[in-house]
Amino acid sequence: MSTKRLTYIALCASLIAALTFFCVPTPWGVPITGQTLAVLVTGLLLSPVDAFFAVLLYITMGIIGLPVFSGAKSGIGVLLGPTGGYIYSFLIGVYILSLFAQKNKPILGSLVFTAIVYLVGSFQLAITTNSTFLHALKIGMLPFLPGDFLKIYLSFVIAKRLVPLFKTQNQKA
Amino acid sequence: MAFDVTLGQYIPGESFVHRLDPRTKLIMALALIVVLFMIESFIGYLWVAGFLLLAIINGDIPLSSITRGLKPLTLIILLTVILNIFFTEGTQVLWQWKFIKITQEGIAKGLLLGVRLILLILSTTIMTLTTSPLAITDGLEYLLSPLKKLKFPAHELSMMLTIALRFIPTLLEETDKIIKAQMARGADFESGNLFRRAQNMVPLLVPLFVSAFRRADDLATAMESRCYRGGEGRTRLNELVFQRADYFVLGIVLPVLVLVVVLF
Repeated sequence: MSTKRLTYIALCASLIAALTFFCVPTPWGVPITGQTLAVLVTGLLLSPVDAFFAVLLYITMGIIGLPVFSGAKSGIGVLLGPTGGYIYSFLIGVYILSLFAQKNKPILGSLVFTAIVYLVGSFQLAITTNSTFLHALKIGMLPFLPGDFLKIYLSFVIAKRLVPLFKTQNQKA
Repeated sequence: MAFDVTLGQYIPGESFVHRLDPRTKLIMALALIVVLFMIESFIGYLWVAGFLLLAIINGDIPLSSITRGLKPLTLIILLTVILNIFFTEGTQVLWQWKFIKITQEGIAKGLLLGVRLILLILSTTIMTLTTSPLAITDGLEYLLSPLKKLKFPAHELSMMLTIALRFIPTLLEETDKIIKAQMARGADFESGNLFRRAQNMVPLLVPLFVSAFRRADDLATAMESRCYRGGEGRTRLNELVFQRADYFVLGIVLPVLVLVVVLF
């Protein structure tokens, strides 16, 4: 692993962590956090393995006690808890998103990413709260969907501006 | 930021538990998790609880930090206990109403699973409360290094973790600065419909990402010009060395835990 790859992955991980603190309130009550946005941009810009590592680092930071999960929470309890699935599913999601992005299908990729996160997340929500999967989808997905589409849109705008910069810099290396 | 992000939950201290090698604490936390899944009796849990209590008292860990670690799981713990109490089949029926019955076995099982969950969280929380994130990162690298033979990037991961830890506060500060700078240029983050507002975030997020990647670039250059070439043959200023206390914990406390599993 080159030094450059190393620092890029590390900085993406800290961007995900830093943007988790970034919260925009919405009229329908569920705040939009920057965490998913940063994960999306990571997936769009880095290679599949690198994006996977960036998210892995972010989750490890949370496990070893840094308040980087939404609501400044941390610890393995969050991952095992009702909302844990929405966090560790980023791992698979971001890998697949990046695969799609490299094949020039970023839109399909981010939809698949969103689907994976909600399937895994709602599955855990359903199990841990002993409710049905449909009910979990209703409370764990519907309120968040509008915000997610906004985030996908934003991540595209940002990634588009960053790609040229990325290319010139990596050519220099 | 009201709290120091890089320290996380860590509460600095000088106790026996604090001074243990991070590797010892990682091994113990892992061992406790395994042990808790193997024990199926209250006496066994009592041993583990006593052991954790000693660590809490010794580490001078405030009760509030422990409850904070347990909070996200309150709902699950309660549900596990209640569901098991009501829906476990058993012979000793204590109370019955239609299909719902409370049996002695149910109460025992519900409480057992509840206690197990609480102890599970406690054992990892105690580690993160008494060990700084950087120390844990170091410990992880040491423990994972045998996996290097299988091409697992143990050194790279811990290096990246260290870098990420170092840059979170910087990026938070940067976000704050960019927000203020764009507001000074007349950016408006509060009015307009949601789509408009999301769009107004672009002049904020793009500079943030650009500056983060520029930092990554500079850092790579700086590391390479100081001849960083990965983990191979790298020496460290502070080597992790097992002390007498670590041998005591790994040599005596760990076998006692194993004995508890065998006996109970």
